[in-house]
Amino acid sequence: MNARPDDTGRVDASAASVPDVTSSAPAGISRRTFVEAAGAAAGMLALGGAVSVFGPDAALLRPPGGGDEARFLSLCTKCDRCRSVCPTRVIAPCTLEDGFLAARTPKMNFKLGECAFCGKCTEVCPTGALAPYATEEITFDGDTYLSPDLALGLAIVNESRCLAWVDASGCTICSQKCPYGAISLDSNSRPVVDAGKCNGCGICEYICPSSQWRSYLGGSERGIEVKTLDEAEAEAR
Amino acid sequence: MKKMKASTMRLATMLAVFAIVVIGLATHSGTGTVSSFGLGSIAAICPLGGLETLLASRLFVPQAVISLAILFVLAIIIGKVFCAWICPVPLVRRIFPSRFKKTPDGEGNGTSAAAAPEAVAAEASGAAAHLAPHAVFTREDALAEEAAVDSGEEIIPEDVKEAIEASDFHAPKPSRVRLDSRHWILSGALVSTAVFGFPVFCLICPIGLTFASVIALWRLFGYNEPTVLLIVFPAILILELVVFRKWCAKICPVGALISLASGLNRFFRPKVDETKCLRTTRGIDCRSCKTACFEEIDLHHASASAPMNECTKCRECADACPVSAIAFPFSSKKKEQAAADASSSEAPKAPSPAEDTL
Repeated sequence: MNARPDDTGRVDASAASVPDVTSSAPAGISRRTFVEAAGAAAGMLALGGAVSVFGPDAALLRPPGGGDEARFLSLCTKCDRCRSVCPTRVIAPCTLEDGFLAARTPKMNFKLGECAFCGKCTEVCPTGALAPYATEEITFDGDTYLSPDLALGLAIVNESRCLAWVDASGCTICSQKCPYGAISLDSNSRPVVDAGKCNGCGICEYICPSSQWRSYLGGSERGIEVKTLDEAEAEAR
Repeated sequence: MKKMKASTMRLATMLAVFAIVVIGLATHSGTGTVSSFGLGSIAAICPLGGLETLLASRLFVPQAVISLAILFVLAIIIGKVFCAWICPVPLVRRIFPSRFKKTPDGEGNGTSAAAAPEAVAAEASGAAAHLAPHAVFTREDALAEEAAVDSGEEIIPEDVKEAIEASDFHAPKPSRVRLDSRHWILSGALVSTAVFGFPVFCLICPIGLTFASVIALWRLFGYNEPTVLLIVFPAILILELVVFRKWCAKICPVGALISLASGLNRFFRPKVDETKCLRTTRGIDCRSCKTACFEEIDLHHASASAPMNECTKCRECADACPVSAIAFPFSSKKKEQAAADASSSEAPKAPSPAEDTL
C-alpha cells in the first residue's frame, strides 16, 4: 500500500532542486535536461542562422502580392492554400533547388498556366504574405481580363529559342494573345516586349510553342519567359 | 454495448483530418493543411506559425492575431486536445517499423492494434510488448483482489484509510504550468524567428513536413515533378520522430505553446470517481491510470505528476481504469457536487449518462 502520506500534494517550483530519482516523473529540470534544452534552443538559433546564411540566393517569381521577397518570407507559413486554390494551377511549390528556406513556399510556374489575377490566392493567404492588390477590367479579343496594379515579373524574349527570332518562322502567337498589348512585332515580325505594359502574367510563356517545336534542342526553355524584375534588370544591363 | 476504445477513436479522428486535408488538395478547394485550414478568407492558423509571422515580419497581421485569440480560448475550453486527436505525428510514427519503438515513452503513439493497413503486420509483433505496461492492474486483477478481500475481514485497513486521507488524493492543478525543454525550444524558435526574419520552426515542423511530403508525392504523380524533397522531407521526419522518439514530450514547441494556454483549462478534465476508484474504496495500490497516461499525469499524486495542463484528453486513463472510475465531465465542479450528493444520500451512485458519453 503505497499511499505516500509524505507527499505534500503540490508540485512546486522548489521541487526542481530535489531530483526525484525514484520515479521518472518530471519533477523538475535536471542538469541533463537543462543541457539538452539549452542545446535545443541554441539549435533553433543555429538553424535560423544557417538557413539565412546559405539561402536564399535569388528572388523567386512569387504569386501576386508576394513581390517583396523579405516581407513574403517573413509571413509565409507554407500552408499550401494559395497553391491549392489557384484555378489555373500556375502556383507550384518551391523545391530544394530554390533553397531550404524557400522549399514549400509558392512560386509561379508559367509552364503550367498563366496568372489571371483572380485574387483567390491573396484571399486565402492567412497571413497576408500575398498582399491584396487592385485590378481593373479590360476587354481583349472579346474577353474580359483583369489588369493588376502590380507586376509579377517581366517577360523576356529568349532570342536563341524564339521561333520568330531563330528562323523567321513568322510565329506571332505571343503578341496575338497578350491581353495587355505588351508584345509588339518589330519590322521583321519578331516579338518585342514593352516593359511598361507587361505585368508578368505569363500567358505568353504558357502558350509559347517553341519547346515543342524545338524539343530536339533539349531542355525546357521557351522562346519567351517571365523573369523576376531583378533578373530582368540584370539581363538588360 | 461495447464502447469504442479511445485509441481507436483517436486514430479515426486523425485519419479523418488527414483525409479532409488530402481531399482538399485533390479538389483544389484551397482549404489548406493543418498549418492553416479554412474556407476563403476565414482560416485557423497554426498558433506557432501565426506567432512566428508576427515576430518575423514585425507587422500586425490581423488574421494571425484573431486566430491566436480564438485558439487561446479553445485551449482554455478543450486544453491540448490537438495533440491526441488531430496532430498527424502519432499517425506518421505508426508507419515506421515497430522495432524502433522500444517502450511507450510519454508520447501519443499508443493508438493500438487497429492500425493503418501497412502498419498492421509490423505492429503485430510489437503490440503485446507495447501494450503490456499499461495493463498493470486489470479488471481481472481487480475482481481477484475483490474476492480475496471479501473473504477477509476489513475491506480497508484503518491505517490505509488514514494514509489515503493524509495523502494528496487529488489531481494536479492545471494552472501550474511546468516549463520544460519544449518551452526552451519554443523560446529558441521565437527568438531565432525574430532575429532572422522568417518562421524558423516551420522549416522542420513534422506537422508541416507530413503534409509537405503528401503534396510532394501529389506533384510527382499529378504534375510529373519529381523533387529531392520526396526523400528529404521523409528523412527529416524519420530523424525527428524515430531517432528523437520523445519529440512530443521533449521537443515539440507547438505542444509547448498550447500547454501555456491550457494552464487555464477547466473543462473536460479527467475526474476520478472516488466512490469507484480502487484506491479509495479498497486501498489497492492501483496505478493503471498513471501508467496509461502518455503525459505522465498521476491523478492520485499531484506531487509526482505532470501538471494537469498537459492533459490531451486522450482518454487512455479512462480506458485503462479497471473499474471505470475516470470520466471527462464538462465541468469538474458539477461532478464534485453530484458525487457529494450521492455520498450524502448513501445511494449507490449511478453514473449519469453525460459522464459516460463525454
